[in-house]
Amino acid sequence: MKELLFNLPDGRTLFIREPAIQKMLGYQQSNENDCEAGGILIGRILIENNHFIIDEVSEPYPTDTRKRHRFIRSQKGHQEYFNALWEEYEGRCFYLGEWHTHPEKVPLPSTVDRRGWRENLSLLYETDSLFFIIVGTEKIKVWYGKCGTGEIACMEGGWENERKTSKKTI
Amino acid sequence: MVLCQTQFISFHEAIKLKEENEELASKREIILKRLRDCMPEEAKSFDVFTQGSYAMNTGIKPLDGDFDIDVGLWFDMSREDAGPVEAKEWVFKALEGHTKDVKMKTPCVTVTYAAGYHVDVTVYSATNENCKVYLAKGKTTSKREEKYWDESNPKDLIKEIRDHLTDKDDRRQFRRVVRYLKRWKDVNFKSATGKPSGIALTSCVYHWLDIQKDIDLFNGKVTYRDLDALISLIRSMISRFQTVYEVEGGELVSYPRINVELPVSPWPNLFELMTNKQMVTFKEKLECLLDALEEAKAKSDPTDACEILRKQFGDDFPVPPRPMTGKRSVAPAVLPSTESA
Ligand SMILES: [Zn+2]
Repeated sequence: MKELLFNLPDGRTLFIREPAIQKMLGYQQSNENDCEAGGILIGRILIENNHFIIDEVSEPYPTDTRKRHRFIRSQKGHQEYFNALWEEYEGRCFYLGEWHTHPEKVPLPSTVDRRGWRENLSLLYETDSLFFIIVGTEKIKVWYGKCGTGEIACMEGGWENERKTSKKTI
Repeated sequence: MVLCQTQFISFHEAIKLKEENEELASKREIILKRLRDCMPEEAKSFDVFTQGSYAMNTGIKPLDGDFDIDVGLWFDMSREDAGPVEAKEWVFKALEGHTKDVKMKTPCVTVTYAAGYHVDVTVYSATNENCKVYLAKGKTTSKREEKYWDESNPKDLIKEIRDHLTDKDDRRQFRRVVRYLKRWKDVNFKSATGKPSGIALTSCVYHWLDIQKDIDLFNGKVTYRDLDALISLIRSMISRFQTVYEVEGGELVSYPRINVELPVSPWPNLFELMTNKQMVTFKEKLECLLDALEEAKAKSDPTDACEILRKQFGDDFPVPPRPMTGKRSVAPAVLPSTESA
């Protein structure tokens, strides 16, 4: 099962459920002409312990700009998607951050990415943390951002593509 | 790591046999009236008291709806005043014909109602020179050595279990854990024989439960961790099994066995009657329960954990829809547009 679990610096955890991971993996830039993709992260803040769970992600809309090395996510589409889930779950879901793809094995955030994350963290949300996921061709990496202070930290672990090992054995 | 305390509390509410259960109270009254009206003349005078798990605050609803009502008759007499089966015959005579199914069993007289419940009436000799109380054992057809007065004081037992632990919230966790374990037993032991008795499990919790709670240092708020309480209890029970050896067909065969004492005099071992094979099954089921409890605890999503717990505790254990385990936000977030490279 593809699930991801990360420990936050404050003792809480981030858990990413399989359906969300599968959706993002569907946009890996494995081929030379695949464009960047992205969307928003939607999930729960648990009543019992305040831990985070990402249940859903949005996928690219035609209103987004998709290039080999750039992804511009418009508000349109993603906002409607979020609102619909929010209604369905009677408010029991939160906007928890952003994801996008990179055409590199082990992804590292670009200057544009970091600037965007910092700007996002300065906005006002009901959650005290946001997460930023980059899907590489061999690895998924997750960064944790603190709202207000704008602190960003890379989280240990992440998912590794099984293809890497299978290629070696061939 | 999740605790699912909310779901454990709902589960407890669903299985708890409430003392004020009117249905049971009225059923009890019917049989008490019959006993008072029809007791034969030669019988000594008696008092009635409520016994059984609901008197101890550890009763659970039966799975099959077959309620078990316990009535104790406290006869004002010594062991020398009447034989145990003689005294039970008074009760049998009083109840005979009350329903089509009245039976004398070794520890009681049982009246079964077509409506699907039964009443166990037990007979005690309550006025003895040594201040002890004795339960009448045996049937009319039993051999002489199987008819005897057996030391057993249900009032002491009820008091001991009811008043166990001084802190009232600790006591609540104790009662909840007893009820969880009893429901687990009803779900996991389908055949009529070989299951541990309710009082044996209650005594395990009485002796070995290590109360699990967190106290908030800032506001003093206490949070109970029933899942952790169960994990530590079951682990402790498993560790108390000891190996015994039996010669079977010329070979030495080993079996695990556990003993647990009734918390009051004469402190009998309540697992005594379980056979070695039944003990093997009991231990395997406890190990299976412990695995499930630990697996549930390791989950990150309470819904996944509850699905595992439900397999052990049955359909009364709630599995919340995923969104219900999350906090409610005040308004939908207003998304920015973002740029990545
Ligand atoms: Zn990027």
